[in-house]
Amino acid sequence: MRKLNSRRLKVGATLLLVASLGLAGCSSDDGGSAGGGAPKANGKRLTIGVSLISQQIPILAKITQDFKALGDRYGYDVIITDPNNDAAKQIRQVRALIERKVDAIVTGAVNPESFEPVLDEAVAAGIPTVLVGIPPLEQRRGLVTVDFNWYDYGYAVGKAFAQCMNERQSGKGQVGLITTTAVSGPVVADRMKGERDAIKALAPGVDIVAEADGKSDRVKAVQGARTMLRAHGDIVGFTGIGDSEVMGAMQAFREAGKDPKNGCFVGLDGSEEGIKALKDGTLYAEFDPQYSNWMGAAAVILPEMVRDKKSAFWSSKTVLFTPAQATAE
Amino acid sequence: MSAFTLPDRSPSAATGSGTPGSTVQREGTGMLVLRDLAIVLVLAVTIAVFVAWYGWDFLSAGNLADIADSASLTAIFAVGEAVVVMAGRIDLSIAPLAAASGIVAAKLLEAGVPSVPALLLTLGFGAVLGTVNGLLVTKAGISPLVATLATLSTYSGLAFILADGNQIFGVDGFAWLGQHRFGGTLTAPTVVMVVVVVVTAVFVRSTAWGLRLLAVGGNEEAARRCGIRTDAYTVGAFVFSGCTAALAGCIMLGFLTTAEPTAASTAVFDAITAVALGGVVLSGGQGNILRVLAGALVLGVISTGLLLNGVAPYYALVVTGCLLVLAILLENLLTGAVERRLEKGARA
Repeated sequence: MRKLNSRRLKVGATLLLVASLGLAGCSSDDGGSAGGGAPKANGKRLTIGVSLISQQIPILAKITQDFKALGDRYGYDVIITDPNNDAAKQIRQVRALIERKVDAIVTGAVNPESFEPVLDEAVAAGIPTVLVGIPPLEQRRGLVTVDFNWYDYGYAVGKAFAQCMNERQSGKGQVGLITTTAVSGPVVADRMKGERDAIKALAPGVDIVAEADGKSDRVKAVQGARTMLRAHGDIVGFTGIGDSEVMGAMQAFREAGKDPKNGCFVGLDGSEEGIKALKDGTLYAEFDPQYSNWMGAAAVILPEMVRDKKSAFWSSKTVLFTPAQATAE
Repeated sequence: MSAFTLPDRSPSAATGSGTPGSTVQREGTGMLVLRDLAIVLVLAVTIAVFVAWYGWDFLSAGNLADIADSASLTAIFAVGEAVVVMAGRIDLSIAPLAAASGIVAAKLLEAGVPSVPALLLTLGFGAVLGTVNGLLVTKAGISPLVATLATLSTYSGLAFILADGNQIFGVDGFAWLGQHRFGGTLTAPTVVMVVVVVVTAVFVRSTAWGLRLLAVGGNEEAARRCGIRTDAYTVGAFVFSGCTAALAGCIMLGFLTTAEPTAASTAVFDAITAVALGGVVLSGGQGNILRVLAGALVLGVISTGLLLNGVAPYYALVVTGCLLVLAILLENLLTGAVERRLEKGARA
């Protein structure tokens, strides 16, 4: 019992460290220079394989680099793979990481269902794995989930958007959404559903007149918003799948001679550009899913699991992150 | 191997008979014009469909300008791609090449380089990357598909490295290239598209260099035996494609005032679709740049028309595919009918 409490204490301390990783996780500029006293497993530097959905998505590329930058501090090197949103490719790449006997894996599944057997293989090989963003269908020993509810994220964005419409447009008006077909799964589908549901529930007078496919290409987002504004000249605001799309729609809105400060725009991703727009008042609100903190959590948890085979993290833990509303400060 | 001759585009060559001014020649000329206009007819039919669906507002000056603007980047990419395809090759690396070029341009502008020199330097950067593609194909003997697949990855990585994985935003040095509207309607990218299309069309159709390029694409061995420096023309085609992609990257930077390593992610698919719609023979040696422009405009009309009519994104993907198949079938039907008529005339 005493031992268990001690483990709980260690896990609690680690989670506290995870929670305080906001700065560490978000800052790649430090380049992991604070390497003094870096914990290392049995004195050897670890190798951690990374397989997120796509390295072609800037925010995921950035948090991967942030994770890599934390390597000096926590005593690991990183092998980065890029499935580029291809579930089969991801399975092959992660199997290659297992074959290579990496010390740990951090991954976010392109297709959670087809990824299950690979998680089994990682667990069977004794490789501690952190799964970020989407939980597995089945919990396993040695698998830690950094969970995030995409629907809640979308709902929070939609709620802020509805609030803006209620404040600035008396709860009525036409609005547009910019989505993407370049990425699939709950990351997009649940997020967009959350947005639609919140707008419908909290600002029933607001009419989502159209959705454009930005195809994760900002030029297409601008062109789509421009066409929507031509078809529906009374559109007073946009939100969508990410900051790039929302900022693109804002550009089209300005082109149409409208002032975004009089309309409603809510950003999501917590990008530098989004924060800047929040500061200048053109974005009503900005939401940050804290992607970097997810990886910051993995940077703490995985070395701990490799170093201590009795760590409570081996008993299948979930670390839940919630979206944070960014402030101009 | 039979003796090589430059492609003869005269109507008499097409019809196989007739003296200047004869009825047969006039009919042959008309048929050739009709064949070249097939994609234009397809464009007209596509527009007519959306006019019927959306209403006459689809033909408003503003909407047509938006369609032209939305087709401009695709057309610029497609023109570069078409030249490579006419030379009997393919270039899959245009999207990351454009993204890397946009980042280079953003860095130059941020460093205080004036916009015109920055544009020229970026075009030079595109030319260098295009040269690498060309040399991999001609000197290293790698198939263009494999070589440009490899550089697609390399240039994509280069774009991420140059940008440190981030967006570079708030760079407005090329706003004149991406956002300016002439007469309040016609956008700068549209004007650039027209210039690129016209210059390239004249080059391909009316200069000895252009005809030699087609000869290299049509039968490289025959062209080589006739003394044409086939490698130089092949590398030249890739350099041109690199320059058009870099130009597109600069326009995107001007349009968005943002450069990102994943920019133009759909460019290669759109460009090859426009090239195929434009009737450029993928095995090389044939093609018409004006038809490629029409192909790009068909894509622009479809995407704009579906959005104006409120077709949801997932359904729009299905409808776009179906409309493209119908467009290609209609184009093939028209071209086939004209060519059968020409053959019949030639036999007579």
